Amino acid sequence: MNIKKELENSLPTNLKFTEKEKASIRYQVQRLSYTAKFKFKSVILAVFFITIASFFVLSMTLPNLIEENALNDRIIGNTTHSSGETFESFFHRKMKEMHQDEENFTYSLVHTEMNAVHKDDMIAVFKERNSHSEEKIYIAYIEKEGSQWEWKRTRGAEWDSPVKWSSMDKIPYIYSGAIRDNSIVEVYAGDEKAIIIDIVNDKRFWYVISPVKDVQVKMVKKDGTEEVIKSLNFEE
Amino acid sequence: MNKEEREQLLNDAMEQHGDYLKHLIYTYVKDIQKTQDIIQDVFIKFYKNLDHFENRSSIKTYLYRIAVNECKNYLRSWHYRKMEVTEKIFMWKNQISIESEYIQREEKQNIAQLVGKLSVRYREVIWLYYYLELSVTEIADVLNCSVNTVKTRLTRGRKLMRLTIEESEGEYEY
Repeated sequence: MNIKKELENSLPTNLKFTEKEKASIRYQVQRLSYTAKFKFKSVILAVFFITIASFFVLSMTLPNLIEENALNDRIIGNTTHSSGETFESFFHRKMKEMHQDEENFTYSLVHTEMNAVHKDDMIAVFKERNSHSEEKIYIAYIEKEGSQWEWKRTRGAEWDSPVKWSSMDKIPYIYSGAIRDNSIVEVYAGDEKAIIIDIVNDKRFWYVISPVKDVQVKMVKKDGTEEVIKSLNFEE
Repeated sequence: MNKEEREQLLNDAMEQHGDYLKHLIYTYVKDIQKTQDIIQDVFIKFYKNLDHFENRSSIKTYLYRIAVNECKNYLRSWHYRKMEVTEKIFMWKNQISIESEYIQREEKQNIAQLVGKLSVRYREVIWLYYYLELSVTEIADVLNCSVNTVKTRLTRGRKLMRLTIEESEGEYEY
């Protein structure tokens, strides 16, 4: 009994692996190689375009992001440094040193702006109350030199003074003053618009960092009128 | 292996094993069109995986292994099962055809028909052994099982198709 023969006879007669089928396989294999090459090129092109697009998006967003972060740092007064004394501890230490012999002296830090003029500098706005219960408001410019903070200059104002502003006589020219008039909405020193800080009730304090010495200060009121005001040369 | 070498290997494989591979595939799927589809897949898979071919087996058994796996995947597929059910319903509706086929089968029943009645596990070893003339070791390689399993299936397959007498005479030894 020839089992192989019998099995072979049971198969359909048209079951030969034809030249047409071989050609079809060769064609598919060729296409496979072409597709692989095409896919490789497509991947390279896709990576290239994604890289270009990423650079483009980054170049558009990164400067804004950096600026935004810097602004946040300035507004929230992010004063911690990797080395040396923090601004806060320097400020409080300095205040204690300057007023150690005064009785009933109190103060409070109301506003800080870091990197105001350049990196590692600080503007501090603070209130003082002496033994006579007189309150004054001050603005100080403080810089970091190496790892040490240096208290550079201070200007102060009184709430009831007829002359409402003063300026620093060295760079940076910081113009500042107190206001108690609710009708004032904007303050300008030259072309620079002031930052206005609410202190308490109707008491507000403004300051401007200007590159220009001796500029005119004007206040803009709710009704749109402008008022040029005199300076107060009051330095502590 | 460069492109030319791969293509040469593919051409050689198609020339040397194409016909037998096609026969083997047909014994599983029993459909000429599907056999043509599967043999294409087998050679394309063979070409794609040439880099992974480690020469631990011969190209022949490597090709048969791919073919057997492809066939089994097809037999497990939803498409095949649906076709099988449809066919059974069709046969049931055409009772007369079934009866006539049965009579025809009874009349012409031979070894191939007996083998065809076996389940895949016995049928495949019979085809691989008797028709494709693979050794038991090669069959074990193709089916990815042990040599003993192949021997057991061969013995049972033969018994089931009433070939025990011929076997005891030592006509087919391994």
